[in-house]
Amino acid sequence: MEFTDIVDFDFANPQDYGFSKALRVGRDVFIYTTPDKTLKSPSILAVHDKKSLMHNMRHFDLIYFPSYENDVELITSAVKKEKRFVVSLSDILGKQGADRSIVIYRIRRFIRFCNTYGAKFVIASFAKSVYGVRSPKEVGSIAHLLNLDSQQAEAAMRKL
Amino acid sequence: MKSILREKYRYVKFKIHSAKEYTRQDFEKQLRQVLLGLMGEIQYSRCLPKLVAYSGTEGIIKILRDTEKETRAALALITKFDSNPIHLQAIFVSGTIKGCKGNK
Repeated sequence: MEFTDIVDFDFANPQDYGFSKALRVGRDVFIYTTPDKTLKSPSILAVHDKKSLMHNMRHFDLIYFPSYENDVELITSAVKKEKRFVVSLSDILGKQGADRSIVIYRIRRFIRFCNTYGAKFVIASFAKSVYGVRSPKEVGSIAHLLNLDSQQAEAAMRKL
Repeated sequence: MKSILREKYRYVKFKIHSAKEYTRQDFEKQLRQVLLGLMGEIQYSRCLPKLVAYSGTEGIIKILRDTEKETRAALALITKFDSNPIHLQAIFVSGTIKGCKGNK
């Protein structure tokens, strides 16, 4: 099985972690906050504001909603436009204690909504160093906390 | 003792990715603290992790059976020992230490 990750550093040996390739932010994959005339693909729209996200999502390949708010309108809109959400592992790994518990809860609920309304999502680490990278098996273990089984987690990493 | 009453264990082998080297004592202390923080006292008592082998780059922890998923998830969530970045990559789970040691 071939897995892909999105990282934010020069990842020399993704094969050591079980990935066939790692996409580097700013080189192989591009993150935007607004639609740009010189939009490069694959593109990710990362916005906190729900209205802006709904309005602009059609221009982008993936959508990253950092607050993981459970909004039926947003999720059904993404389903209609055949857009996929991004779940970032760095949101979980970058926090500690109660903050991390809250993020895990929010992502778990967001994924539950996605599964209910048929929205697709991908899981990526967005690691800033090698210490933030998790192998597909480890992601499967973390996915257990998000009420996903390891097959669903692996599928979310293959779809990238 | 009836075999049904005997505690059954699993052994989790993991790789250590860290720039800092730890003595076994330090590593065990840090691991216990971090796992306790991640699992909480209740889950920790169900899992009861114990470091049984440590080589600096790899280690094996003994846990109670049926808590493998929680332990693997907790190991994957470890990002720091004190303020030093670390990654413990679970690579193998076995019913015996011998089985763990044999697997690369």
